[in-house]
Amino acid sequence: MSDYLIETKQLTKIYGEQAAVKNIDLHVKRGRIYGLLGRNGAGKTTTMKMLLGLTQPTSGEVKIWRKTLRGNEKKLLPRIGSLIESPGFYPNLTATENLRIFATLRGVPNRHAIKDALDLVGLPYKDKKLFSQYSLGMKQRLAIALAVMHDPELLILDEPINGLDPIGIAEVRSFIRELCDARGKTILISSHILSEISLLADDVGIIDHGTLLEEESLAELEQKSSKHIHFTVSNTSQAARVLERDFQENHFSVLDDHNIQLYNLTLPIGKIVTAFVANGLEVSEAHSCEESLEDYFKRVTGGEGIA
Amino acid sequence: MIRLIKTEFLKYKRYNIVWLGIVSIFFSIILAVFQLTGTKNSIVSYAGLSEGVIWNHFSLFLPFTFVLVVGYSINREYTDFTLKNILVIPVSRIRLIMSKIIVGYGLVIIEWIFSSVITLLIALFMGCEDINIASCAISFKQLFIVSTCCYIAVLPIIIITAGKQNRFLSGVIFSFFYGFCGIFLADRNLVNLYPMTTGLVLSNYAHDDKIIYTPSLSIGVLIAILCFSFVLLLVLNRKNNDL
Repeated sequence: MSDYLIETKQLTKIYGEQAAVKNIDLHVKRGRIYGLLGRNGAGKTTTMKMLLGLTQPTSGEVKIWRKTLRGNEKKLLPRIGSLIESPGFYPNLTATENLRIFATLRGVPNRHAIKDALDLVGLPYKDKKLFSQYSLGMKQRLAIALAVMHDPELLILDEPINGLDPIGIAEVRSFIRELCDARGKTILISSHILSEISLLADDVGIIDHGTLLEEESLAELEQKSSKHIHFTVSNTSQAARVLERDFQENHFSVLDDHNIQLYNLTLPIGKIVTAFVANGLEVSEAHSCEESLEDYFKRVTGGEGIA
Repeated sequence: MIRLIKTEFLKYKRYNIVWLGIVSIFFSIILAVFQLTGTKNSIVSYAGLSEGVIWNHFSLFLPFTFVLVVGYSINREYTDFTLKNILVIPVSRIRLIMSKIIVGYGLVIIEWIFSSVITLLIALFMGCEDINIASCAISFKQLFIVSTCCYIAVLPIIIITAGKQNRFLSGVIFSFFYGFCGIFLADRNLVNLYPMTTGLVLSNYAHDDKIIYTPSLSIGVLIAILCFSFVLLLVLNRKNNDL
């Protein structure tokens, strides 16, 4: 049985002749935070809109809780909380009045749901201030309150920290983490800020120009991007055996037939090269790499744009 | 649907466009007063004032006011970015617009009460002698029928312009001319068929003998408009309107 709460197959959205999203296969695991990372205009919002049925895919399929979204909206969408793009509320109403409208529409049974949601994001209950008088940060907080008010199992949050001050960002971060850890929510969050995703996400998808370039756990990504010694040799299988036998080292990755990465930087490169040669291997390249997570993302996405 | 209608009423709180509607209706009544008193030797009567208000309502003020207020309430779901929050509940567009149309009719009722009461108060203030229960009943009934028929007549415009952001503004302009054209048809037999003038027929508005009112024709036209509006709603719902 699939453990994926969200699964997309070849999800594509084409506007005119321009593909906003191309053949995306997204896999969001149950009870984890999935960070969708990409520069502005990469296709994050379009993907999220398709996951919520706000935009119809040109081709491909969205499955949530193993059910196809199309035709099952009435069953699936009430279990999802979302924040897409800018906060959308009625400017002539207060925060409480706005939430009351959506609580009524959703048929939220909990009478304290509005107060609880506002408390959670640090906004006053029954305040007389109208939404139009709110700062961007307050608007964003209210949008988060709306997303969690009906206690959804899945949260889809598009750039939720936009407009928040540093304290607000930290609060929202720990609040999202708590929702996942303590309440078992599954959260899909998008951002163009690498540090945010690296601080929050368990799994990361890197999207660029509408294509999902990478999808793996943050730990795997960090390992990929960590400091290492890179060897280009004639036979990586034999090189791996040498490392294990002669150096008792197994913290390395075989990239292909000729490239191998060693993550233990304390080992002397010279001695390793000598050992490789002594075992009949040709060594054409050996150097240490110091690539940060940011360098890695830049390389994967083509070199620029991610903060 | 009841929840939707309830929330639609909540959205009208501190909603300035409603005041614009009230001012528009008030202008219609004031214009009728000037029209009635502006001519020499004119007889100022409650019936005459009421007829003037009805005439200004259907031909000048009601069509565009209805499209403006209801169209704006639909349009704000786009401009305030609230539509995405409603669609993910999920609430379909057809149900959302239907609820707005129903609540819009609630506003028509408020407009009718406001028009009727203000017209009566002005007639009292002007010292009209023909004010009695029978004349009040006729005035209230005629205003109600004309308002309702006007609202039905503009429904297709409201629905057609609901599909895209800010399209309602062109609907407001069109509905003004739609109502204005009624002036030229009101004294012809086309009065039975022109949607905007069906209210005159059904309320038995004062007319000369050359014109023959055929209420069944007018009712048929209004039913056809309601059916057409429902078809438009279905088309709107089926159209791929990505947000």
